[in-house]
Amino acid sequence: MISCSWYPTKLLLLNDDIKIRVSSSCNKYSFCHFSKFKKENIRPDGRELGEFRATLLNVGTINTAHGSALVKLGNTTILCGVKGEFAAPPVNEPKKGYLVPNVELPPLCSSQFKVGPPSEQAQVVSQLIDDIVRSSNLINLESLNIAEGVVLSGGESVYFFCVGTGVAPGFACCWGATKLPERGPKALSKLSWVLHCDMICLDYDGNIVDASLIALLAALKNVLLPAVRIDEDTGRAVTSQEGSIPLKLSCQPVATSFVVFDDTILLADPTKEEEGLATGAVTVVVNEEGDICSVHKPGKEGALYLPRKFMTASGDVSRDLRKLDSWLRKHWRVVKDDVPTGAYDLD
Amino acid sequence: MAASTECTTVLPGDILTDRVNRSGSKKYKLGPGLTVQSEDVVACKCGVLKSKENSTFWIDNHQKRYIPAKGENVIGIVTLRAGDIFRVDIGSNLPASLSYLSFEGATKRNRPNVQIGDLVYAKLLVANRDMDPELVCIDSSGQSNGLGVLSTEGFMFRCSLHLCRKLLSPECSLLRVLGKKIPLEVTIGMNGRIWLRCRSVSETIGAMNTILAAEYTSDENIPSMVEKIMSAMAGY
Amino acid sequence: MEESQIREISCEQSVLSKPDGSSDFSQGDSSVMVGVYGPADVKQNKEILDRATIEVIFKPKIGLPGVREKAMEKMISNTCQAIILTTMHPRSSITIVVQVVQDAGSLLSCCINAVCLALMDAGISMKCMVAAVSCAISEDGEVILDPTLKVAQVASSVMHFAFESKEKDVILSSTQGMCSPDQYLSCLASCQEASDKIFTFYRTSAERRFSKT
Repeated sequence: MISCSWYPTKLLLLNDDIKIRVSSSCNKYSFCHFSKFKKENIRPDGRELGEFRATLLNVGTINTAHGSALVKLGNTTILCGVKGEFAAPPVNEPKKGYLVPNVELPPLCSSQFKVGPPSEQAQVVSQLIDDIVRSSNLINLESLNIAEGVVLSGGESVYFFCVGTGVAPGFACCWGATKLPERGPKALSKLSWVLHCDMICLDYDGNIVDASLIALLAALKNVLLPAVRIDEDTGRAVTSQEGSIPLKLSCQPVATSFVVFDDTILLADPTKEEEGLATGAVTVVVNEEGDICSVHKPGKEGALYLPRKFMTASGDVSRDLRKLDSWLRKHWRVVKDDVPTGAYDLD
Repeated sequence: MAASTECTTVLPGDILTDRVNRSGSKKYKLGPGLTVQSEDVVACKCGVLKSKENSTFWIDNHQKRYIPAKGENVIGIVTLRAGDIFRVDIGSNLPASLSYLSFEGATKRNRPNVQIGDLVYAKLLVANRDMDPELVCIDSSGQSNGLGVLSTEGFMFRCSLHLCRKLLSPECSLLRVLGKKIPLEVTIGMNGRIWLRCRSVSETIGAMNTILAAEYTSDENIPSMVEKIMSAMAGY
Repeated sequence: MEESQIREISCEQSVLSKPDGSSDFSQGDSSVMVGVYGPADVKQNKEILDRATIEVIFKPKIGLPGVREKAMEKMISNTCQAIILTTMHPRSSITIVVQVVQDAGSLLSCCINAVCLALMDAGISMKCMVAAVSCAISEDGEVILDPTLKVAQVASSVMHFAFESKEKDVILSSTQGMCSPDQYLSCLASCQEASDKIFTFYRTSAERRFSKT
């Protein structure tokens, strides 16, 4: 018998024939256990198949970062901090700054991750987030450019100093001097913002792509970059006292992940347990216009359901997308509202 | 062996239910490369579909890696002596074990003389995917019947599994033809290993090359192929 | 308008002597070499009790493999996971080494096709085969199959799909750049159609190979 008290009454009807303990760690047992739930169109945590977990968003959590957000998707918790630094722009694109998304899965969030270099999964998710940011043109990278071609005095090392602008207390301490590599006489120096976006998972309970993207988007919306002026006498970049600029985002991509269970059922926003039992997964990223930024389906057997469905009648497709849309709107609502700080319950 | 003359190349995922049913027999055996997926006979390897007496089907391909099968004779290399058993490398994913009691005439007192690095010609007694393979060097009546440690005077080389099967099939004339030219002692393991002993080193090399060249030579061309290699060898 | 097509495909199997299976596959100017070892012994910490462990090692043409390569490895290994009957060889490893020889566009699909051919050569038990096709949507909305590097750079979006041979179901989908759902579907459909060419290629090359014996 199931002993968990929070199961909805609807489930109790089918409990009579479930003789498997919930806590059973064996995959096969959990599989049978899950199958019974799926037949009733409900999941063990009381959600419907296409339902997201309760989502909580807290913006501006970290004072020392330029932008930050904490997202809780059920138990999955992602903390995203965005920190701007001066750097030389990429050689082939001198007018652009760049964005470095990095997802960290420390041992803190789950016992499946070990101390040491980033796990394979962390690298794969980081790459996916990076791809999504690029695909969607989330930020006009040219807006991150500070100075293009400053002639520097020859020989000596050049420092770019930033003075804390008082965006937040503790801000200045993180902003020491950024030393640029020494260059030859009359070197042409270019300067851009590089935004380090660190998404740290604090609690791993599945669906980290969606959670990371919400966190990233919310944190970027929250970013205030100090205005920068190049002092022509010293060749130093000085952050000005007033006029911090919020970052402009060109769109709002939102990811929705599904797993395929038993080759037939799609489950949105899977938990860790559901991910383990699933035969496949697919992540669809859509912006507010309904354009697709990414359809990522990284293989694995059985994950054939969604695209096949995509391909059948077009009516089917639009219905699916509309369904998607309604879930996404929930996230947009919060991300769209220009909110300074504070916690918001998405439901 | 009455292998069917019909040669069809099959690829993984091909459904062969019709082909198997066409043989008319109600009961049939599926060999390597064929599986049953939801009542359909499906190929899971790329190769040629072969059948025997219209009731046994398998796929023949040029695989190099050996998958142990019960009852097959293989050549193994003794890698470790651990208590009562020897660990033997037979080219599969797991090392096989060979008890010291499973040699002809071996008792607890009278242990067989097997050193690490020796070659053994042995039969697979246990072979399934979930267990370590187990070898024996005796038949059910306790006789060695040709199995046992191979002499260190011979030479072992590796070839594809397909070549081993081909050499062992009664239709293949290679060893008969070759034996007339060079007196030789040969042991063929189903795991793609061939042990060979001739009178001299040059004969061993010649015989080895002839055997390896037979992989892509059809049966009628074998005498001329052997002749060619023998005449090339004559100068040495 | 000329119908865009997959570039010329060529392949040689069993090119390497040490691996259990190998292939040298090229699609236009993109070329990839793959070696497969397996089912071989597996490291204790990677052993899975009821199926084989699949490991993919992706070697770029120059430099050390980074995060992008890691993501490629994962996509290839997940694709293989879908087609290999891993339960046939429990407690063993199937190691797939992918070496890029030349990247001239559509690299991911080139790799997956090469891996499929190498797996077939190694005689690994598979449920079915897999064929991957890439396509790009040009600035003016035209679908271009199997884009070269040049085409991909200016395209508004590039997509990679892998299909299995039985039902032509999608195993892998990876996109870069924006597109509308309709565009995505039309790309999917045309790639699916084009995958036939690759499956036919698999068959003819296998038939040619086995006609010798």
